[in-house]
Amino acid sequence: VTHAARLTLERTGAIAVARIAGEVDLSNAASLQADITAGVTNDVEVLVLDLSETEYLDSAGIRLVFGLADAVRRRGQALRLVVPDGAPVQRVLELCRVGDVAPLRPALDDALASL
Amino acid sequence: VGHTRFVEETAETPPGTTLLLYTDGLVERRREPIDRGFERLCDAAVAAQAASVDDLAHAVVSTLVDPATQADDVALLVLRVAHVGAERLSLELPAEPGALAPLRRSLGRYLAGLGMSADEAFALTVAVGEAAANAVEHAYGPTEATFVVEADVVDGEVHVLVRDRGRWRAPRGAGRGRGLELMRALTERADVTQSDDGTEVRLVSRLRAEAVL
Repeated sequence: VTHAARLTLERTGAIAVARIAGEVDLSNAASLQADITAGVTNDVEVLVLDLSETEYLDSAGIRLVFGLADAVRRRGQALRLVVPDGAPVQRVLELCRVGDVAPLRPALDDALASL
Repeated sequence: VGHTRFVEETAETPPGTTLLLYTDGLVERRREPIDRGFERLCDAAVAAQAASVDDLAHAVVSTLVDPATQADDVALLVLRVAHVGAERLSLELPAEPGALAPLRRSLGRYLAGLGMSADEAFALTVAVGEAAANAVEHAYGPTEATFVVEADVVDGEVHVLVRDRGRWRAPRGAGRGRGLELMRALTERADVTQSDDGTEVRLVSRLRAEAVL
């Protein structure tokens, strides 16, 4: 199985940043979601999903975002998304109204500043 | 004023051909034979040949032009001869998730060859990805299943057909309806046809003539 995406998890205090570089589709969305969920411990207050380097994302990726939003909400944590203006995946995220469950910010700094 | 001789040449430009027209400022550098400049241009253009004309122009300029040292002005025109229906894309792929990324690669090259902009190509690629993912998710039977993707240009529109021998399943569970929703939002027309032979999804996007300075 080839993985079209690379996941990086970083932790700064109560903030966890999950960065997905590459492409998200049916082949890797579920395992990415599982890896992110497993990497976010109870002491995390906010999970930031950074999609700045995500080159492709379809409804499998949208399920991932809604799935993560649901998982962190049940743990009493919050989810923020980083999506640069004009990013290829921006339109798909907006069409699926992802902003309803997690605020979209154009850069990581904005996402962290808004906390 | 020196003596200049102009030579007339003829070259065939079949569909998909990319033509670069430029002023000498693009290739000329002081204290360097001009052949080096031609080589640099060829390398940069070949490296970016799969990109849209827009991206190709940007790639060539950013590779060859250093604004800090550039002495002469530069003009570059990139033209690509559109496919006129003769060139089609036809793929048969295994109905498994690992086939989706290679499908996007092939479709991306095909759409770039038609001169589609990156944004337009991305939208259609997501729509096709949704139809293909559905074919993969609902792969059928104990034998190895495949699905077929065909693309063609009809009257200035790109038609992409995704066919499988399974049944289109009514989306189940939270968020499972988004695939169809996205296909409709990202194309001009999206039609799902069921028959005893399987499911056919037809996705249509308009093609615009494009030339970039």
